[in-house]
This record gives sequence, structure tokens and C-alpha cells, in this order.
Amino acid sequence: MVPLLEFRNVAVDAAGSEPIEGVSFAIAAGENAVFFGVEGSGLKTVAPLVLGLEEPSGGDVLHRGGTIRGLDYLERLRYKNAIGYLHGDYGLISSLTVEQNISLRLEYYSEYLPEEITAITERLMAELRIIDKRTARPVQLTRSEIFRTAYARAVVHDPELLIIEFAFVDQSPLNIRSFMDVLKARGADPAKSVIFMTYEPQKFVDFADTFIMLYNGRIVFSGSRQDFFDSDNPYLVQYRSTSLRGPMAIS
Amino acid sequence: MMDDERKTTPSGGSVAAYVGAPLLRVWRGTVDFAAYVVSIVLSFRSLRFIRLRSISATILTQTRFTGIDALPFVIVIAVLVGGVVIIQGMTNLPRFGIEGYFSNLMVIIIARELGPLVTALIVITRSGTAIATEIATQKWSREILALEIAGIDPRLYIVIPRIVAFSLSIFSLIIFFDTAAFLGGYLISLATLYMPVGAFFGNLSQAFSMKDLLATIVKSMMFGVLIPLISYYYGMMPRSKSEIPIYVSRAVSRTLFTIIVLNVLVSALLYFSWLE
Amino acid sequence: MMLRFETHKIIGGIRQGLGRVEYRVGLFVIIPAVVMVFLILVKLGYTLASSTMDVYVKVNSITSLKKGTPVQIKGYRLGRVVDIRPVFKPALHFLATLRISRDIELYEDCAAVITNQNVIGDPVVELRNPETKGFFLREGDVIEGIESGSIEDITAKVNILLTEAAAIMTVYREVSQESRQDIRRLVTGLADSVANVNAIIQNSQKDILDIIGSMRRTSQTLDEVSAEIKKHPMKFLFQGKGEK
Repeated sequence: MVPLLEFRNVAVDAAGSEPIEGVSFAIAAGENAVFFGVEGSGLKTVAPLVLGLEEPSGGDVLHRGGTIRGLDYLERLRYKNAIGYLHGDYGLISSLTVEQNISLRLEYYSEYLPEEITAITERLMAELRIIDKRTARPVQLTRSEIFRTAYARAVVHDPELLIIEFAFVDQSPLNIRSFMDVLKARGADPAKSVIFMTYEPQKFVDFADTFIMLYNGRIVFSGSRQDFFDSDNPYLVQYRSTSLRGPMAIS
Repeated sequence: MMDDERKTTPSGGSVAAYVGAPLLRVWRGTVDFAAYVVSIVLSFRSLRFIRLRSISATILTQTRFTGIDALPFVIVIAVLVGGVVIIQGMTNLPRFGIEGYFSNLMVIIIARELGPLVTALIVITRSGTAIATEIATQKWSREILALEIAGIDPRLYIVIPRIVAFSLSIFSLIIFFDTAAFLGGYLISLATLYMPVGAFFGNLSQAFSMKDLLATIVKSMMFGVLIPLISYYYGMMPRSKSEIPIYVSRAVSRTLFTIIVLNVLVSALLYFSWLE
Repeated sequence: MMLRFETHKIIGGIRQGLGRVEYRVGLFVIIPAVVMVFLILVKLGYTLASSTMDVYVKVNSITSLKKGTPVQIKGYRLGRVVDIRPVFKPALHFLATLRISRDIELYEDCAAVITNQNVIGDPVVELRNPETKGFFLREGDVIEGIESGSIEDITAKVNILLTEAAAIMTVYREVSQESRQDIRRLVTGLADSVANVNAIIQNSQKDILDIIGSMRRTSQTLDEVSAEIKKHPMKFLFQGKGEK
């Protein structure tokens, strides 16, 4: 079966981004993956590559078996519609309300009727319990409400691949408890994949199938949930034990 | 996005050897800006996919901010400018028969030049800075990125509604400015000479030529396109928070310069007799 | 509960506000657009105005002018004076509003002469087109008014001169048979009078050339008379000009 997302020997050496080299992995539809590693490991380069914001200097990024390099305007648009992205800055449009932020994407391009868009948006807001904030602007929201709004916006078009990058920064665990259930539901969907970039992989052991660890721009560990717990990979051991001693030099 | 464009812009190195660093900078800036304009124009291809509903709110709020909110300020400035023009006109033109020149003087100075220019200056200082700052902070807080990820072309989503709003606002503001300036001039002129209101406005409408009306439309369109375009260009430039004020002030000064130069060009094109 | 209530108020406020914004933006855009379209239509030659137009006449005194005074051109009635207002600066003068028909082509440099229509003294504003045609007179233009008083003065002076000339002629007629040498002297006197008339005509304002025109013709006749006398004094004296 053709993987949903595949990296083939990808390298990036552009100035301004964390370099990676020889990164290869494949994520099947329905598979959830966690990428983790220390600072500067190349973790932050993966999402821009998937999103097409950055061009690999070597290798290839494939979506359903086809390269995303050199897509034209419309193909790129179609590709972007297959991806949802949630990052730690959330980037809610500050001049729009919660509802407008969520529905923006649908209103901008889609063929949905206004009533359909309202229905989708309302369902999401209800699910994420921000429905009473629908007319609030981001500045009036709490941290977790911002997070839930940003999540709703990332999944409003029901993408087959969702990337969540360092999104739990500065969040009170209890306040995102309800969100976790929503995320778990999505993670259980056999047609949808979720990719997490995080410094805390243990948070996602409940829904992730695959764990990939990067160090110095290379993959140093890749394995299942069980492997993540059991493996004696020295990098993973050092990471799990948050020790300063090991193969990784921590600054 | 913008960084990529900057990287791929031709350096113009061969020119540099001959004309020196400052000219090279100007040249690079121009090439870069041209590339940016081209990218905007190219992004128009996807205009047909855009639903008006998603940008209509932006057009409305932007028009309200740029146009309606600026209206009281514009009117006060206009009345004062109209008054000054008339004071100068009356003290420097021979008194006898001034009624005849009065309207023409106002149309020539206010409607042709001061109206569009002062309006543009007010819009730049109010809304040009606002856009540049807004875009810079949006870029900083990765709102622009969020748009791009959502498949929304920020050039279209941010620039197009603002071009529409600015063109409409500037056009309306120019008309309000002219009207207020004429009224201001008229009121001040009452201090020294009497002219019936009907006669004044009758003369005024006669003093307007088709060219003046055309100039008003052309200038408001031109300014309406350029101010958001340049402000967006510089708003996207900052790569860190500390660079935001630098590029915002650059956006303002460049916009001012461009507008004044183009104003002269349009006036020359329209009013120089050797071009007719 | 309290919070919910407040939220609803805010929501309502925002909804109302949005409605108002749309309304205001609409007005803000439409009013100037209408003004522009109107101006363009006017420039393209469409007019919403009626068959009459209002022009203003600036006059120094309103002794003979009043509301309802007819306005004429060459005796043809164009309209009437509908309003007279004093203007205090720079010096007291008056602006009379004339509502006149658009049927007759009038030019910007035309003159408005306030004169007496007949012996009884009913005043009338007589418009006169200039000899050189410039721009058309348009709604709201201001015309310089010329007081009938000055015309009367000139006419009176010319009258005096003509009377003088007539007297000289009479004297000439009487003395001619007695002394031929006197003729030359008399003719010189006559010529001086004519010159005087001409000087007055030239000094008078250009705008009233037409009025003076008839007098010029009179003086021309006088010129011809004197020339005739110079050439054929006897024939003229005994046969008269009319019999020629």
C-alpha cells in the first residue's frame, strides 16, 4: 500500500533552518507518528518540508507516492487541503472572531454553502467546547481556548494528515483534558493520520503508533510504542532518562 | 515566502561594479519590488476560486477604518487647506474681478493637486502604517503562516481586499476633501468679498473639466493600489520583532515618496499641453 | 449566569454595530460616487437645470433697480430681476440676480446697462453682447452693471455739443452770405466740436459702444457736412444736404 507520507533520503542544508540529512520514513494512512529529539536535532525542519514551505536540498518528499516538488498553484492548493497544521504560536487571525477563524478556510475557497459552513463550524466549536466564545476575538480567549480554536481551524476541512507541532507549550494539562479526548478520536480514525513534533513523546503514547527520534539531523531511533518503552537504543535511553550523560551532547 | 523570493531575485551584480552601492540598493529594491508585484499579479489566477464572502468583511472593516474613521480628520484638514488657498489667493490676486478667478483657483489648486495628495498623505500616515504594522505582527505571530498553510494566499487575502477598500476610501475621501475645502475656502472668502452660494458652486462645477474628474479617479485608483501594495511589501520584510519599526517607517517613507512622484507624473501626463 | 447575560449583550452590540458599519460604508462610498457621476454627466453636457438660468449683476447703486425689473436684449424681454442683495465689502455695492431665459446666446463679457425704458422712467436691464464673442454666459456668472446715470451724463454732454453744433450751423448760415472769410473759421469751430464729441465717445466705456454708436453716426454726418462745406460751400448752403 502506498504510504500517505514518505521521506526518501531527505536533506536540507539551507541557512536559517536546522539541517537534516538522509532522513527516510514512511507513514501509512491511519498511522499516528511522534517525532521527538533535542533542540537543534532537525525536528523543526520536518513540518516545513511536509508543508512545502521548504524545499529539500536532496531526496524527495512524497504524498501518496507523488513528489510534492514543483507542484503548480492548483496542485499545491489541493495538497494543502489534505493537510492540517497546528503550531505552538497558534497564529489565530487576531482581527477575526473564533467562528470566523475556524470557518475562514472553508469560506475562502470551498464550495460549501454558508449554512453548511456554519453547521461544520458549530459542530467543531461544540465538540471543543468553545461555542460560547464564537464571537470572541483571540485576545479575549484563554490559552487553552486559543489552542482549541486553532485546532478546530486546523481540522475544519477534515484533512487526512494533521501535523501538531509543539502545540502543548504553556498549556495547563487539566484544561486541555477535553481536547485530548477529541484528539484520541481522530487518532483512532483508520483513514486519518496525525503527526506530532514534540519534546515530550510520552504524552502521546496513548495514540501514537510510531516513534521517530532525530539527533543532529538524522534519525537515530524509529520504532513502535513497545519499542519506545523497551528499546535500549542509547539515544532513546538518554532521552527517556533525561540524563546529560550519553551519546547526545547537550548544551 | 518573501524570503524565498528575495533569495531568488537577481542580484544585479554587473550593474553594481559601475554605479556603486547606493544605486545598487535602489536597483535591487526595484527588482525585488517588481518581482513581488509580478507574484501578486500571478496570484490573481486563483482569484476565481475565491469566494467574495471571505474578503467582504475585510473590505468593510478596512473601508471603515481607512475611510470613515479618517473622515473627520480629512474634513478639518480640508477646510483649513481650502482656507489657506483662498487667503493666499485673495491677498495675492488683484481684488478687482476676483470672483471670476476664485473658482478656477480652487479647482486648480485643490481638486487637481492638494485634494488627492493630502488625502493620500493622511491615508498613508493612518492606514499605511497600520497595514505595515499589522502585517509585520501577523507575520511575527505566524498568522500569515497559518493562512498559507490553510491554502489561503496571503497576497490575495490581505492585499486584494485592502486594494479595493483603499481605492474606494481614497476616492470618497478626495471628494469629501474637495467639497470641504471648497466650503472652507468659500466661508473664509466671505470675510472680504461676497459671492452667492449658488454662484460659487455654479462656477465651481464649471471650473471642473473632464480632465480634473478623470485625474481624481485615476489618482485614487493609483494610490489605492499602491499604498496597500507597498505597505504589505515592507510589512512582510521584518525577520525579527526588532525589525518591525524599521520596516514600518521604511514603508511609510517609501510610500510617501512613490505617491508624490507618481502624483507629479499623472499631473504632467494629464495637464501638460504638449502631450495633448 | 451574569457572565452569560453580558456576553449576549456584547453579541447583540456587535451584531448591531456590524449592521451599522455596512450602512455607513455604503453611504460613504455611494455619496461621492453619485457626486462624481453627476459631475461627469454635467460635463458631458447633460443638464438638470430648467430653461432659465440665474446670473448676477454687480451694480453700484440700486436707485433705479428693483425686484421685477425686466431684463431685455435689443428690446426683447429675456426675464426679470428676482433678487437684490447688498454687499458690504470691500465697498458697498449690490448684486442683482437676473433670472433669464437660456434661449438667447449671451457671452461672458456682455454688459448689463440699467437704463430707462421710456420717458416716464420705467427702468430696464438691457443686456448687450460684446462685439467679440468669447465664452457663453453661464449660470452663476457675474456681469458688471453699468448705471444708466453715466449714460445719461454722456448723452447730455453729446446733446449739448450737438446743440452747439446746430447753433454754429445757424450762425454759419446767417453769416456765410456776408463774409466768405468767416466760413473757414466757422468750419474750424465745427470741426473742434466734432473732435470733442469723438473724444467723449472714446473716453466713455467700451461696453457702451453700442449706445454711443448712434452718436458716432451723428458725428459722422457732421463730419460729412463739414467736408461737404469745405468742398462746395455754396452748393451746400443754398441747396441743403437733403437735396443732393
